[in-house]
Amino acid sequence: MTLLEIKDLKVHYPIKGGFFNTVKDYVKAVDGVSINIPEGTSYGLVGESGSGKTTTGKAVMGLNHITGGDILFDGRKLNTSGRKVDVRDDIQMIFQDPYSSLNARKRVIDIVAEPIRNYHKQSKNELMEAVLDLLDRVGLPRDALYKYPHEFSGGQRQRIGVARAIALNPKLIIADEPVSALDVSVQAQVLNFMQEIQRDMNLTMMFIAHDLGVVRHMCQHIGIMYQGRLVEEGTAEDIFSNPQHIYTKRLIAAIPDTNVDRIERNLEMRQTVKTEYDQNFSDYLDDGGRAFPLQSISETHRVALPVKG
Amino acid sequence: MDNKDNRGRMGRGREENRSEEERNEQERVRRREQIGDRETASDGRPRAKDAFEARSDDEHRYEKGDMDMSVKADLPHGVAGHGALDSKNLPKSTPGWKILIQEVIADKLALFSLIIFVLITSYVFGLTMFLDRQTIVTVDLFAINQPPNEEFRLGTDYGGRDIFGQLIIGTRNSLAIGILVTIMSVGFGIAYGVISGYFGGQIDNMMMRVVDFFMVLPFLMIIIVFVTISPSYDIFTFSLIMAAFLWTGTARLVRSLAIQEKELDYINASKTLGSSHMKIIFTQLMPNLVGIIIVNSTLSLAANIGIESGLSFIGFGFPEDYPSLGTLMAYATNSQTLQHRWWIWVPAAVLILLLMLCVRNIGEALRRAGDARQRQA
Repeated sequence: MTLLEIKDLKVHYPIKGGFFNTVKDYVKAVDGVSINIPEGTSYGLVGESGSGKTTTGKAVMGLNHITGGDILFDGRKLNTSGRKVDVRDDIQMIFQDPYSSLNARKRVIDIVAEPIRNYHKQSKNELMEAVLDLLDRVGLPRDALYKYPHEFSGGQRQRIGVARAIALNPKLIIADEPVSALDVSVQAQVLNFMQEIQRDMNLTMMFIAHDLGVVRHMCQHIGIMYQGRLVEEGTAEDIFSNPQHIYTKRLIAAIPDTNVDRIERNLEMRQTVKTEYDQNFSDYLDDGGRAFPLQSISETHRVALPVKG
Repeated sequence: MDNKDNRGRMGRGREENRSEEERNEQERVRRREQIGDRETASDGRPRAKDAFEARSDDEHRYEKGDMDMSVKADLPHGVAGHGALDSKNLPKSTPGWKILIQEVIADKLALFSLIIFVLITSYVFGLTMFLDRQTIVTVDLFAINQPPNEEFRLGTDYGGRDIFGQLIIGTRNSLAIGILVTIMSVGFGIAYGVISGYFGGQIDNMMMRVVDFFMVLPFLMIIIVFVTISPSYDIFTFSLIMAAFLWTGTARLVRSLAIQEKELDYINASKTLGSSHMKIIFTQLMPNLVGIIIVNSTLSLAANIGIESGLSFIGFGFPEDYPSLGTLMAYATNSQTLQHRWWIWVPAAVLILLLMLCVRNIGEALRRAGDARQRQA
């Protein structure tokens, strides 16, 4: 069953200029993205910086205004005009930067308890129990309760962020590059325990990343974004073993390989992909420099290939 | 490695190519062996191929050394060392006022300043209850310009009025005005700035134009006009007219900081966690502005005392029979007084300096208390 459905989402920002400060043009941060995320699965959204991944995630959270398109959560439309559907206890977000996403003036207990205080009336003791339980779950010691964020390492801070996000037992978590600010050894820890939590709580996750290795590890479905549009979408298997779009190919070629024996082969492969990319990339974009609409090439696999003829 | 290098260097030109290849081959073999070693060396079983699975048995337990930064303020003695904490054995959180007190006590300069400030204010406010302003400001021609003596502890001015009494009442008036103006202007400025900065857009645009309007008004001029045409005014109305023009600076400062802070993710996080705007402003945004607000209000307290004294000094504050620190300083405009009758203006000047320094030092300690990273206690 589809939990989150994004239909033709558009987020445009006006560029103002000129003498009368009129709208000259639009930055199309997200331009017609459609995504379906089935319940209990992870969807990885990958792309270079500025490709609109985070904007898409924030639009789902209601942190951005939406120019066009629909977002349906569990069958309910989120971007209605007028009274807002309050699903904030069902959708939560893990932020990219564990430093700025925790208020430096707040103690861990206040940070983690904030959503609980907003949605459930609880006595002080119950609240304390709930927070302790959450800390246990994300693997933080209990005496972290009265500490301030600056007393923790990056990985521990990200765990506080996760504890806060799962405090309300949400159904969907939008993880906005949750590990890109952490060093590699801590990345693995945080990712593994996010997977554990996902299994335990049957969470649906939208995983925004620019690291294909991370996404491969976490996600069943992957979408590749370029300039605000999806260029390829499919299962992890589809994307990694049968990439069709040249942009996807280039991304996959860029994944570092630790096998020493394959250095030459990888280098050669990268060179061929690069030549192909340099020669043919414009063929994969329409006249306006945008990716083509997605076409199905198998049941799960959709690619923005140029329209023939 | 070294050996090989040496051999390579010593080898004659013809052999060089061959030995290079050889060396490369050897190097490759050695590297492969090393990797093989690494895969099994530590625990005898091969490491998983996928880097991410390498830690799959990681229990994410608290590792010692990870967080041994102890929180002195938050843990009662003895608890920190005793390992596992269950929900009954939890450390009590330290209430905010206690942190404030601890911080002021830890900073000896601030403590000293606080004691002096409290002594001066309580002495001044206590003594004014027993002093009669009318008798003090009554002109006594038989006792003009007397240096300090038994009857007049700080001498008299050219009207034979007791300087000590004027100093006490003047300090009371100046302090009261300074504090009142600060509370009013900073309070309004903060509310205005935070709302303007947090909501942004059109609201911000409109609110800031109002601020611009107030800033282009020549406020000293208007106060002077007010003082000239107003038949009677007391401390409160005088403070109000000053505060009506002095809030703009605070509003602009707070707005700029609020704009900076609201872009940070913790505000976004709060929104996604379901907190209302008011709650975000008061519980998330404000605590992060506290530092600058305290610095700003202590500085403006000092400045406001200064502005009042200045207005009185140029003769547009309170009249001579309504003493303030400024009216006492104004006597120094007379060169005779400046040169020969130090007892009239030096005590007032010293008191202004002392009060401002004290306020500043206390404010500094309060600012640190508001920021957990800078606390000394």
